Amino acid sequence: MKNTGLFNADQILIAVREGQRDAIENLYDGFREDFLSWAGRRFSGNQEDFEDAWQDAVIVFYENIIAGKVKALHCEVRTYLFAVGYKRLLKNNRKMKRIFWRDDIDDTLQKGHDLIISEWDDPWAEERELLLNAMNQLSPQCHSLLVGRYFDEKKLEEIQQEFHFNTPNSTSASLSRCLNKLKEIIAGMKAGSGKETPS
Amino acid sequence: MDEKELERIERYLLNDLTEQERAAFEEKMKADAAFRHEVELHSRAISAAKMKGRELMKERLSQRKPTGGRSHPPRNWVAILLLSFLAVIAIFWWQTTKSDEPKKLPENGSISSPADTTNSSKALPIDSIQHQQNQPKEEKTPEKKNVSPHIANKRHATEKLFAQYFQPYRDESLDPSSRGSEDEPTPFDRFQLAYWEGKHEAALTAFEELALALKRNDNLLFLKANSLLAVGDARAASAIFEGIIANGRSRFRSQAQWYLALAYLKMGEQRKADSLLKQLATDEKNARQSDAKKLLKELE
Repeated sequence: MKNTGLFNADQILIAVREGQRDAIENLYDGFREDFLSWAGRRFSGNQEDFEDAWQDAVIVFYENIIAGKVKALHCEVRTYLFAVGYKRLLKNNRKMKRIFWRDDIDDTLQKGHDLIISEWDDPWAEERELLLNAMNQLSPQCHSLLVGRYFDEKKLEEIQQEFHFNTPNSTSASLSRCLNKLKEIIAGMKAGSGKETPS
Repeated sequence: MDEKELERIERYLLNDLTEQERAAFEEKMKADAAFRHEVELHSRAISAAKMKGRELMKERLSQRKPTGGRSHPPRNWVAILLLSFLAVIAIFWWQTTKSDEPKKLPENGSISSPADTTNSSKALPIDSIQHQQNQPKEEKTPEKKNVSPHIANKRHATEKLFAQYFQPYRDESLDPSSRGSEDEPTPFDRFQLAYWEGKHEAALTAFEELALALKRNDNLLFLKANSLLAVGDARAASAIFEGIIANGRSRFRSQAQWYLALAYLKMGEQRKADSLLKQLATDEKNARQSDAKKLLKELE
Protein backbone atom coordinates (compact mmCIF):
# COMPACT_ATOMS: atom_id res chain seq x y z
CA MET A 1 0.00 0.00 0.00
CA LYS A 2 1.39 3.33 -1.04
CA ASN A 3 0.72 6.31 1.10
CA THR A 4 1.56 9.87 0.16
CA GLY A 5 0.82 12.04 3.13
CA LEU A 6 -2.90 12.64 3.12
CA PHE A 7 -3.45 10.71 -0.08
CA ASN A 8 -3.63 6.99 0.18
CA ALA A 9 -3.67 5.42 -3.29
CA ASP A 10 -5.91 2.50 -2.40
CA GLN A 11 -8.44 4.70 -0.70
CA ILE A 12 -8.55 7.05 -3.67
CA LEU A 13 -9.05 4.19 -6.12
CA ILE A 14 -11.94 2.83 -4.05
CA ALA A 15 -13.52 6.26 -3.57
CA VAL A 16 -13.39 7.06 -7.29
CA ARG A 17 -14.82 3.67 -8.23
CA GLU A 18 -17.65 4.33 -5.82
CA GLY A 19 -18.37 7.58 -7.60
CA GLN A 20 -17.04 9.95 -4.93
CA ARG A 21 -16.07 12.87 -7.10
CA ASP A 22 -14.64 14.89 -4.23
CA ALA A 23 -11.84 12.33 -3.85
CA ILE A 24 -10.47 13.31 -7.23
CA GLU A 25 -11.12 16.98 -6.59
CA ASN A 26 -9.25 16.87 -3.29
CA LEU A 27 -6.39 15.20 -5.05
CA TYR A 28 -6.45 17.95 -7.66
CA ASP A 29 -6.28 20.62 -4.95
CA GLY A 30 -3.80 18.73 -2.82
CA PHE A 31 -0.95 18.46 -5.31
CA ARG A 32 -1.80 21.41 -7.56
CA GLU A 33 0.62 23.93 -6.10
CA ASP A 34 3.29 21.28 -5.84
CA PHE A 35 2.87 20.33 -9.51
CA LEU A 36 2.86 23.94 -10.73
CA SER A 37 6.02 24.64 -8.83
CA TRP A 38 7.67 21.41 -10.01
CA ALA A 39 6.67 22.00 -13.63
CA GLY A 40 7.97 25.57 -13.38
CA ARG A 41 11.35 24.21 -12.39
CA ARG A 42 11.39 21.51 -15.05
CA PHE A 43 9.94 23.37 -18.04
CA SER A 44 10.26 26.78 -19.49
CA GLY A 45 6.57 27.41 -20.07
CA ASN A 46 3.74 29.51 -18.75
CA GLN A 47 1.41 28.96 -15.82
CA GLU A 48 -1.57 28.30 -18.09
CA ASP A 49 0.20 25.37 -19.80
CA PHE A 50 1.14 23.89 -16.44
CA GLU A 51 -2.39 24.31 -15.10
CA ASP A 52 -3.77 22.68 -18.23
CA ALA A 53 -1.39 19.73 -17.94
CA TRP A 54 -2.30 19.28 -14.29
CA GLN A 55 -6.01 19.16 -15.08
CA ASP A 56 -5.38 16.66 -17.88
CA ALA A 57 -3.28 14.50 -15.56
CA VAL A 58 -6.03 14.33 -12.96
CA ILE A 59 -8.71 13.61 -15.59
CA VAL A 60 -6.58 10.85 -17.18
CA PHE A 61 -6.15 9.30 -13.74
CA TYR A 62 -9.91 9.50 -13.17
CA GLU A 63 -10.72 7.95 -16.56
CA ASN A 64 -8.18 5.17 -16.11
CA ILE A 65 -9.65 4.21 -12.75
CA ILE A 66 -13.22 4.30 -14.05
CA ALA A 67 -12.31 2.24 -17.13
CA GLY A 68 -10.59 -0.33 -14.91
CA LYS A 69 -7.19 0.34 -16.51
CA VAL A 70 -5.72 1.30 -13.16
CA LYS A 71 -6.58 -1.26 -10.52
CA ALA A 72 -3.68 -0.62 -8.14
CA LEU A 73 -0.72 1.73 -8.06
CA HIS A 74 2.84 0.54 -7.64
CA CYS A 75 4.15 4.04 -7.21
CA GLU A 76 2.97 7.02 -5.22
CA VAL A 77 -0.12 8.88 -6.40
CA ARG A 78 1.94 12.04 -6.67
CA THR A 79 4.55 10.34 -8.85
CA TYR A 80 1.87 8.85 -11.09
CA LEU A 81 0.10 12.16 -11.57
CA PHE A 82 3.29 14.11 -12.11
CA ALA A 83 4.47 11.60 -14.69
CA VAL A 84 1.19 11.90 -16.60
CA GLY A 85 1.38 15.70 -16.37
CA TYR A 86 4.95 15.55 -17.61
CA LYS A 87 3.92 13.53 -20.66
CA ARG A 88 1.06 15.93 -21.36
CA LEU A 89 3.41 18.89 -21.21
CA LEU A 90 5.74 17.25 -23.68
CA LYS A 91 2.91 16.22 -25.98
CA ASN A 92 0.94 19.45 -25.94
CA ASN A 93 3.91 21.73 -26.11
CA ARG A 94 6.50 20.16 -28.31
CA LYS A 95 8.44 23.38 -28.48
CA MET A 96 8.42 23.88 -24.73
CA LYS A 97 11.94 24.04 -23.51
CA ARG A 98 12.74 21.31 -21.06
CA ILE A 99 15.21 22.06 -18.32
CA PHE A 100 17.37 18.99 -17.89
CA TRP A 101 17.86 17.35 -14.60
CA ARG A 102 16.64 14.12 -13.17
CA ASP A 103 14.26 13.37 -10.36
CA ASP A 104 11.96 10.56 -9.23
CA ILE A 105 9.47 11.32 -12.01
CA ASP A 106 12.09 10.59 -14.71
CA ASP A 107 12.98 7.35 -12.96
CA THR A 108 9.34 6.32 -12.86
CA LEU A 109 8.84 7.12 -16.53
CA GLN A 110 12.02 5.31 -17.50
CA LYS A 111 11.15 2.19 -15.56
CA GLY A 112 7.71 2.18 -17.15
CA HIS A 113 6.10 1.02 -13.92
CA ASP A 114 2.37 0.66 -14.25
CA LEU A 115 1.78 3.99 -15.87
CA ILE A 116 -1.04 3.92 -18.31
CA ILE A 117 -1.03 7.20 -20.06
CA SER A 118 -4.31 7.39 -21.90
CA GLU A 119 -4.22 8.11 -25.53
CA TRP A 120 -7.19 10.40 -25.48
CA ASP A 121 -9.49 10.51 -28.45
CA ASP A 122 -7.79 13.51 -29.86
CA PRO A 123 -9.69 14.43 -32.98
CA TRP A 124 -8.66 17.40 -35.00
CA ALA A 125 -10.11 20.74 -33.97
CA GLU A 126 -12.95 20.83 -36.51
CA GLU A 127 -14.25 17.39 -35.58
CA ARG A 128 -13.91 18.20 -31.89
CA GLU A 129 -15.94 21.36 -32.30
CA LEU A 130 -18.60 19.51 -34.29
CA LEU A 131 -18.97 16.80 -31.66
CA LEU A 132 -19.11 19.27 -28.78
CA ASN A 133 -21.68 21.38 -30.64
CA ALA A 134 -23.76 18.29 -31.23
CA MET A 135 -23.70 17.55 -27.49
CA ASN A 136 -24.75 21.12 -26.73
CA GLN A 137 -27.86 20.69 -28.84
CA LEU A 138 -29.21 17.91 -26.67
CA SER A 139 -31.71 18.50 -23.88
CA PRO A 140 -30.10 18.87 -20.43
CA GLN A 141 -31.45 15.45 -19.46
CA CYS A 142 -29.94 13.70 -22.50
CA HIS A 143 -26.71 15.62 -22.06
CA SER A 144 -26.31 14.46 -18.46
CA LEU A 145 -27.43 10.90 -19.21
CA LEU A 146 -24.85 10.44 -21.96
CA VAL A 147 -22.01 12.04 -20.00
CA GLY A 148 -22.91 9.85 -17.03
CA ARG A 149 -22.99 6.71 -19.14
CA TYR A 150 -19.97 7.18 -21.38
CA PHE A 151 -17.63 9.51 -19.48
CA ASP A 152 -18.33 8.50 -15.90
CA GLU A 153 -19.09 4.95 -17.11
CA LYS A 154 -22.02 4.63 -14.75
CA LYS A 155 -23.97 1.41 -14.75
CA LEU A 156 -27.60 1.34 -15.79
CA GLU A 157 -28.71 0.82 -12.19
CA GLU A 158 -26.74 3.85 -11.02
CA ILE A 159 -28.27 5.97 -13.76
CA GLN A 160 -31.74 4.66 -12.95
CA GLN A 161 -31.28 5.64 -9.32
CA GLU A 162 -29.68 9.00 -9.98
CA PHE A 163 -32.20 10.11 -12.57
CA HIS A 164 -35.18 8.51 -10.85
CA PHE A 165 -36.23 6.23 -13.67
CA ASN A 166 -38.74 3.58 -12.66
CA THR A 167 -37.31 0.54 -14.41
CA PRO A 168 -34.06 -0.54 -16.08
CA ASN A 169 -36.05 -0.71 -19.31
CA SER A 170 -37.12 2.91 -19.16
CA THR A 171 -33.52 3.90 -18.29
CA SER A 172 -32.18 1.97 -21.21
CA ALA A 173 -34.87 3.33 -23.54
CA SER A 174 -34.06 6.91 -22.51
CA LEU A 175 -30.35 6.38 -23.03
CA SER A 176 -30.93 4.84 -26.39
CA ARG A 177 -33.28 7.65 -27.43
CA CYS A 178 -30.68 10.23 -26.41
CA LEU A 179 -27.88 8.43 -28.22
CA ASN A 180 -30.00 8.19 -31.36
CA LYS A 181 -30.81 11.87 -31.14
CA LEU A 182 -27.10 12.65 -30.82
CA LYS A 183 -26.29 10.44 -33.81
CA GLU A 184 -28.99 12.18 -35.80
CA ILE A 185 -27.52 15.59 -34.95
CA ILE A 186 -23.98 14.48 -35.81
CA ALA A 187 -25.09 12.94 -39.10
CA GLY A 188 -27.08 16.08 -39.93
CA MET A 189 -24.17 18.36 -39.11
CA LYS A 190 -21.77 16.34 -41.19
CA ALA A 191 -24.12 16.46 -44.12
CA GLY A 192 -24.08 20.22 -43.77
CA SER A 193 -27.73 20.39 -42.76
CA GLY A 194 -27.10 20.68 -39.05
CA LYS A 195 -30.40 22.11 -37.96
CA GLU A 196 -30.05 23.87 -34.64
CA THR A 197 -32.52 22.22 -32.34
CA PRO A 198 -32.68 24.02 -29.05
CA SER A 199 -32.18 21.92 -25.96
CA MET B 1 -31.20 -1.25 -37.06
CA ASP B 2 -32.60 -3.32 -34.23
CA GLU B 3 -31.78 -2.93 -30.54
CA LYS B 4 -29.69 -6.10 -30.40
CA GLU B 5 -27.47 -4.94 -33.23
CA LEU B 6 -27.00 -1.56 -31.54
CA GLU B 7 -26.12 -3.29 -28.31
CA ARG B 8 -23.53 -5.36 -30.17
CA ILE B 9 -22.01 -2.19 -31.66
CA GLU B 10 -21.81 -0.67 -28.22
CA ARG B 11 -20.16 -3.76 -26.77
CA TYR B 12 -17.67 -3.73 -29.63
CA LEU B 13 -16.80 -0.09 -29.00
CA LEU B 14 -16.47 -0.69 -25.27
CA ASN B 15 -14.19 -3.65 -25.95
CA ASP B 16 -16.70 -6.00 -24.42
CA LEU B 17 -16.97 -8.69 -27.14
CA THR B 18 -15.32 -12.09 -26.96
CA GLU B 19 -12.60 -12.76 -29.49
CA GLN B 20 -14.94 -14.83 -31.60
CA GLU B 21 -17.69 -12.22 -31.50
CA ARG B 22 -15.18 -9.55 -32.33
CA ALA B 23 -13.89 -11.38 -35.39
CA ALA B 24 -17.44 -11.90 -36.69
CA PHE B 25 -18.22 -8.26 -36.04
CA GLU B 26 -15.19 -7.06 -37.97
CA GLU B 27 -16.02 -9.38 -40.86
CA LYS B 28 -19.45 -7.82 -41.05
CA MET B 29 -17.94 -4.34 -41.03
CA LYS B 30 -15.75 -5.23 -43.97
CA ALA B 31 -18.64 -6.62 -45.98
CA ASP B 32 -21.43 -4.20 -45.11
CA ALA B 33 -20.84 -0.50 -45.78
CA ALA B 34 -24.09 0.63 -44.10
CA PHE B 35 -23.19 -1.32 -40.99
CA ARG B 36 -19.70 0.19 -41.01
CA HIS B 37 -21.21 3.66 -41.27
CA GLU B 38 -23.48 2.94 -38.30
CA VAL B 39 -20.53 1.78 -36.19
CA GLU B 40 -18.60 4.89 -37.09
CA LEU B 41 -21.52 7.15 -36.18
CA HIS B 42 -22.05 5.33 -32.91
CA SER B 43 -18.37 5.68 -32.11
CA ARG B 44 -18.44 9.41 -32.80
CA ALA B 45 -21.48 9.84 -30.57
CA ILE B 46 -19.69 8.10 -27.70
CA SER B 47 -16.59 10.21 -28.34
CA ALA B 48 -18.75 13.32 -28.19
CA ALA B 49 -20.15 12.31 -24.79
CA LYS B 50 -16.67 11.52 -23.47
CA MET B 51 -15.25 14.76 -24.76
CA LYS B 52 -18.08 16.71 -23.19
CA GLY B 53 -17.49 14.87 -19.91
CA ARG B 54 -13.83 15.82 -19.97
CA GLU B 55 -14.67 19.40 -20.83
CA LEU B 56 -17.12 19.62 -17.92
CA MET B 57 -14.64 18.08 -15.52
CA LYS B 58 -11.96 20.50 -16.65
CA GLU B 59 -14.31 23.40 -16.12
CA ARG B 60 -15.17 22.15 -12.67
CA LEU B 61 -11.52 21.78 -11.77
CA SER B 62 -10.68 25.23 -13.14
CA GLN B 63 -13.37 26.77 -10.99
CA ARG B 64 -11.92 25.32 -7.83
CA LYS B 65 -10.11 27.90 -5.81
CA PRO B 66 -6.72 26.85 -4.50
CA THR B 67 -7.28 25.66 -0.95
CA GLY B 68 -3.64 25.36 -0.11
CA GLY B 69 -4.32 21.74 0.84
CA ARG B 70 -0.92 20.39 -0.04
CA SER B 71 0.56 17.23 1.32
CA HIS B 72 4.08 18.60 1.55
CA PRO B 73 5.30 21.91 2.90
CA PRO B 74 6.57 24.23 0.17
CA ARG B 75 10.23 23.70 -0.54
CA ASN B 76 10.98 27.40 -0.41
CA TRP B 77 9.51 27.81 3.08
CA VAL B 78 12.68 29.39 4.39
CA ALA B 79 12.30 32.23 1.90
CA ILE B 80 8.63 32.62 2.87
CA LEU B 81 9.55 32.79 6.58
CA LEU B 82 12.23 35.37 5.87
CA LEU B 83 9.85 37.49 3.81
CA SER B 84 7.20 37.31 6.54
CA PHE B 85 9.78 38.42 9.11
CA LEU B 86 10.84 41.35 6.94
CA ALA B 87 7.19 42.29 6.39
CA VAL B 88 6.57 42.37 10.16
CA ILE B 89 9.61 44.63 10.67
CA ALA B 90 8.47 46.91 7.84
CA ILE B 91 4.96 47.24 9.30
CA PHE B 92 6.40 47.97 12.76
CA TRP B 93 8.72 50.63 11.34
CA TRP B 94 5.94 52.20 9.30
CA GLN B 95 3.62 52.41 12.31
CA THR B 96 6.24 53.99 14.58
CA THR B 97 7.23 56.62 12.02
CA LYS B 98 3.53 57.33 11.29
CA SER B 99 2.82 57.94 15.01
CA ASP B 100 5.17 60.96 14.88
CA GLU B 101 2.58 63.03 13.03
CA PRO B 102 -0.90 62.17 14.32
CA LYS B 103 -1.95 65.67 15.33
CA LYS B 104 -2.37 66.94 11.77
CA LEU B 105 -5.51 64.90 11.21
CA PRO B 106 -7.92 66.39 13.80
CA GLU B 107 -7.29 69.90 12.45
CA ASN B 108 -9.30 68.95 9.37
CA GLY B 109 -12.18 67.79 11.53
CA SER B 110 -12.43 64.45 9.74
CA ILE B 111 -11.86 62.23 12.71
CA SER B 112 -14.34 62.72 15.48
CA SER B 113 -12.41 61.40 18.46
CA PRO B 114 -8.66 61.47 18.94
CA ALA B 115 -9.13 58.74 21.52
CA ASP B 116 -10.35 56.36 18.84
CA THR B 117 -6.97 54.88 18.09
CA THR B 118 -8.40 51.69 16.63
CA ASN B 119 -10.17 53.49 13.82
CA SER B 120 -8.70 51.96 10.68
CA SER B 121 -9.72 54.95 8.60
CA LYS B 122 -7.02 56.93 10.40
CA ALA B 123 -4.48 55.55 7.99
CA LEU B 124 -6.43 56.75 4.98
CA PRO B 125 -5.95 60.10 3.26
CA ILE B 126 -8.42 62.75 4.42
CA ASP B 127 -10.16 62.90 1.01
CA SER B 128 -10.97 59.25 1.10
CA ILE B 129 -12.38 59.47 4.62
CA GLN B 130 -14.67 62.31 3.59
CA HIS B 131 -15.64 60.39 0.49
CA GLN B 132 -16.57 57.39 2.59
CA GLN B 133 -18.67 59.59 4.84
CA ASN B 134 -20.51 60.99 1.84
CA GLN B 135 -21.47 57.58 0.44
CA PRO B 136 -25.25 57.09 0.40
CA LYS B 137 -25.94 54.52 3.09
CA GLU B 138 -29.07 53.11 1.48
CA GLU B 139 -26.87 51.62 -1.27
CA LYS B 140 -25.44 49.09 1.15
CA THR B 141 -28.68 48.31 2.97
CA PRO B 142 -31.42 48.36 0.38
CA GLU B 143 -33.72 46.31 2.52
CA LYS B 144 -33.53 48.22 5.80
CA LYS B 145 -36.85 48.90 7.44
CA ASN B 146 -36.80 52.65 8.16
CA VAL B 147 -36.53 54.01 4.65
CA SER B 148 -37.33 57.60 3.80
CA PRO B 149 -40.58 58.34 1.88
CA HIS B 150 -38.50 59.31 -1.16
CA ILE B 151 -36.71 55.97 -1.21
CA ALA B 152 -39.94 54.11 -0.53
CA ASN B 153 -41.60 55.80 -3.51
CA LYS B 154 -38.63 55.03 -5.72
CA ARG B 155 -38.68 51.41 -4.59
CA HIS B 156 -42.40 51.23 -5.30
CA ALA B 157 -41.81 52.59 -8.81
CA THR B 158 -39.07 50.06 -9.62
CA GLU B 159 -41.18 47.18 -8.29
CA LYS B 160 -44.02 48.37 -10.50
CA LEU B 161 -41.74 48.40 -13.51
CA PHE B 162 -40.52 44.93 -12.60
CA ALA B 163 -44.10 43.66 -12.51
CA GLN B 164 -44.78 45.32 -15.85
CA TYR B 165 -41.76 43.80 -17.60
CA PHE B 166 -41.22 40.44 -15.95
CA GLN B 167 -42.53 37.37 -17.73
CA PRO B 168 -40.89 34.02 -16.91
CA TYR B 169 -38.82 32.92 -19.90
CA ARG B 170 -40.49 30.61 -22.43
CA ASP B 171 -39.65 29.24 -25.83
CA GLU B 172 -40.86 26.31 -27.88
CA SER B 173 -38.01 24.05 -26.88
CA LEU B 174 -39.29 24.10 -23.29
CA ASP B 175 -42.72 22.77 -24.27
CA PRO B 176 -42.96 19.39 -22.50
CA SER B 177 -45.29 18.02 -25.18
CA SER B 178 -42.38 18.08 -27.65
CA ARG B 179 -40.48 15.50 -25.62
CA GLY B 180 -40.78 11.77 -25.72
CA SER B 181 -42.71 10.45 -22.75
CA GLU B 182 -41.65 7.90 -20.16
CA ASP B 183 -44.03 5.46 -18.52
CA GLU B 184 -43.90 7.53 -15.35
CA PRO B 185 -42.78 11.16 -15.33
CA THR B 186 -39.29 11.65 -13.96
CA PRO B 187 -38.47 14.64 -11.69
CA PHE B 188 -37.11 16.32 -14.81
CA ASP B 189 -40.46 15.88 -16.58
CA ARG B 190 -42.27 17.19 -13.51
CA PHE B 191 -40.00 20.22 -13.32
CA GLN B 192 -40.42 20.95 -17.00
CA LEU B 193 -44.21 20.57 -16.89
CA ALA B 194 -44.64 22.71 -13.75
CA TYR B 195 -42.43 25.42 -15.23
CA TRP B 196 -44.29 25.38 -18.54
CA GLU B 197 -47.63 25.62 -16.76
CA GLY B 198 -46.41 28.56 -14.68
CA LYS B 199 -46.63 26.62 -11.40
CA HIS B 200 -43.41 28.02 -10.07
CA GLU B 201 -43.62 26.81 -6.48
CA ALA B 202 -44.11 23.28 -7.82
CA ALA B 203 -41.29 23.77 -10.32
CA LEU B 204 -38.93 24.76 -7.51
CA THR B 205 -39.93 21.71 -5.49
CA ALA B 206 -39.38 19.43 -8.50
CA PHE B 207 -36.02 21.07 -9.17
CA GLU B 208 -34.77 19.98 -5.77
CA GLU B 209 -35.53 16.36 -6.68
CA LEU B 210 -33.42 16.45 -9.86
CA ALA B 211 -30.19 14.52 -10.18
CA LEU B 212 -27.13 16.48 -9.05
CA ALA B 213 -25.80 16.70 -12.59
CA LEU B 214 -29.02 18.35 -13.70
CA LYS B 215 -29.08 20.70 -10.74
CA ARG B 216 -25.68 21.98 -11.84
CA ASN B 217 -26.79 22.47 -15.44
CA ASP B 218 -26.79 26.17 -16.25
CA ASN B 219 -29.76 25.90 -18.63
CA LEU B 220 -31.90 24.38 -15.90
CA LEU B 221 -30.54 26.82 -13.32
CA PHE B 222 -31.70 29.61 -15.61
CA LEU B 223 -35.24 28.25 -15.47
CA LYS B 224 -34.99 27.79 -11.71
CA ALA B 225 -33.91 31.42 -11.33
CA ASN B 226 -36.92 32.47 -13.39
CA SER B 227 -39.17 30.51 -11.05
CA LEU B 228 -37.49 32.16 -8.06
CA LEU B 229 -38.13 35.58 -9.57
CA ALA B 230 -41.74 34.60 -10.21
CA VAL B 231 -42.25 33.71 -6.54
CA GLY B 232 -40.50 36.90 -5.41
CA ASP B 233 -37.07 35.66 -4.33
CA ALA B 234 -35.07 38.13 -6.40
CA ARG B 235 -31.93 37.82 -4.29
CA ALA B 236 -31.55 34.07 -4.84
CA ALA B 237 -32.47 34.51 -8.51
CA SER B 238 -29.87 37.23 -9.04
CA ALA B 239 -27.11 35.04 -7.57
CA ILE B 240 -27.97 32.28 -10.06
CA PHE B 241 -28.14 34.65 -13.03
CA GLU B 242 -24.76 36.12 -12.07
CA GLY B 243 -23.28 32.62 -12.02
CA ILE B 244 -24.74 31.76 -15.42
CA ILE B 245 -23.35 34.93 -16.97
CA ALA B 246 -19.92 34.35 -15.42
CA ASN B 247 -19.80 30.72 -16.57
CA GLY B 248 -20.79 31.63 -20.12
CA ARG B 249 -21.89 28.06 -20.88
CA SER B 250 -25.63 28.41 -21.06
CA ARG B 251 -27.57 29.02 -24.24
CA PHE B 252 -29.61 31.42 -22.08
CA ARG B 253 -26.60 33.55 -21.20
CA SER B 254 -27.81 36.68 -22.97
CA GLN B 255 -31.35 36.22 -21.63
CA ALA B 256 -29.85 35.88 -18.16
CA GLN B 257 -28.51 39.45 -18.44
CA TRP B 258 -32.02 40.78 -19.00
CA TYR B 259 -33.46 38.79 -16.12
CA LEU B 260 -30.60 39.81 -13.86
CA ALA B 261 -31.41 43.46 -14.59
CA LEU B 262 -35.04 42.76 -13.64
CA ALA B 263 -33.95 41.02 -10.45
CA TYR B 264 -31.87 44.08 -9.52
CA LEU B 265 -34.91 46.26 -10.13
CA LYS B 266 -37.01 44.07 -7.90
CA MET B 267 -34.36 44.34 -5.17
CA GLY B 268 -34.32 48.14 -5.51
CA GLU B 269 -30.75 48.16 -6.82
CA GLN B 270 -31.48 50.54 -9.64
CA ARG B 271 -27.92 51.60 -10.28
CA LYS B 272 -26.89 48.01 -11.03
CA ALA B 273 -30.00 47.50 -13.17
CA ASP B 274 -29.26 50.69 -15.12
CA SER B 275 -25.71 49.69 -15.84
CA LEU B 276 -26.72 46.24 -17.08
CA LEU B 277 -29.58 47.62 -19.17
CA LYS B 278 -27.24 50.11 -20.81
CA GLN B 279 -24.98 47.24 -21.85
CA LEU B 280 -27.96 45.35 -23.25
CA ALA B 281 -29.26 48.41 -25.08
CA THR B 282 -26.03 48.68 -27.05
CA ASP B 283 -25.73 44.97 -27.79
CA GLU B 284 -27.30 44.46 -31.18
CA LYS B 285 -27.05 40.71 -30.97
CA ASN B 286 -29.02 40.52 -27.76
CA ALA B 287 -32.64 39.49 -28.24
CA ARG B 288 -33.58 41.79 -25.36
CA GLN B 289 -32.02 44.94 -26.81
CA SER B 290 -35.32 46.69 -27.55
CA ASP B 291 -36.82 45.68 -24.18
CA ALA B 292 -33.75 47.10 -22.47
CA LYS B 293 -34.06 50.40 -24.38
CA LYS B 294 -37.73 50.73 -23.42
CA LEU B 295 -37.13 49.96 -19.79
CA LEU B 296 -34.21 52.38 -19.62
CA LYS B 297 -36.45 55.16 -20.92
CA GLU B 298 -38.99 54.46 -18.22
CA LEU B 299 -36.32 54.49 -15.57
CA GLU B 300 -35.02 57.93 -16.59
